[in-house]
Amino acid sequence: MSVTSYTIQAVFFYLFSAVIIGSALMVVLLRNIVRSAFALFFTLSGVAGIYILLGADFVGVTQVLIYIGGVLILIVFGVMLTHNVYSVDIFNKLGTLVMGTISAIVTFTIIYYSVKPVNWLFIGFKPDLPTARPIGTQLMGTFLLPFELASILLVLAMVGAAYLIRSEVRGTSQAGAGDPGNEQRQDTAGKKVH
Amino acid sequence: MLSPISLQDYLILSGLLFSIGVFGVLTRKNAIAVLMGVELMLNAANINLVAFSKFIDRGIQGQIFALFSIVIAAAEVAVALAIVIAVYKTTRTIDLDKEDSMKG
Repeated sequence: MSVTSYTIQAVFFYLFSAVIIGSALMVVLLRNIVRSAFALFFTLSGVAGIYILLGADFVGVTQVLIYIGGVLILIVFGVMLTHNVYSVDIFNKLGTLVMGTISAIVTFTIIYYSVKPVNWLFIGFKPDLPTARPIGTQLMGTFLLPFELASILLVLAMVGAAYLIRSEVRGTSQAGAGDPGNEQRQDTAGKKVH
Repeated sequence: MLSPISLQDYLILSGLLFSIGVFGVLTRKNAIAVLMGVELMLNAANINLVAFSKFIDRGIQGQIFALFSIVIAAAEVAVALAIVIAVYKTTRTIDLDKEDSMKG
């Protein structure tokens, strides 16, 4: 790589880093949680940019698809469904704030001083080739078992999440429908209370 | 003229992001805001994986690890939000300081 290529890379690295750190600070500091969710959008986009800067195009696109397209939408839905945005005071008391700041600084100090002095084994810059094909072949070869386990995990998480949400809704939506099973269920519920 | 970006720079960026996530998890009261802090920490870990994959990995195994991490994060956030909404339905609040019914 030429010198200008390094410079362009460095410029983009600092640009993405500024976006990530600034919006991450907004995520944890803004009082309005809806704005926090929007700031999270910029953090995740910046992380996707960092992936692409690192030559991981497939991971970057996956980040956009799953994090921005899935997780962030889920979080925004969660914010809307539990719409007590202004009733929950965002921050704890001052003591918790101070302890959180100290913990964050200590964490960063530990990471910094364990990362900085190490002389990492460096194998030289690899050319940025398309990664979708080797990832696909390795997922179907070396990593076949984790791949299948991940699919099972996703199904379990989906069923579990749907069950957690659904069980309560069924009880309230059928209340007063007049079927005997429902009355019996209410009886048992009443017995549990007494 | 800027110097080339080394592995350390990526690791320090990821450490900063992780520390911000720690701060968010420890100081927020809203359960969903705590989840956002967890997401920040997961992203920091993924940056680490992909950076190591670029700099000291001969193949692309680091990227595959990052992909698995993203998958597990997606499952985690789905279940966590379901729990948050279930808790909200029963107690009508997601203030973590008020969720103390299991306190001894």
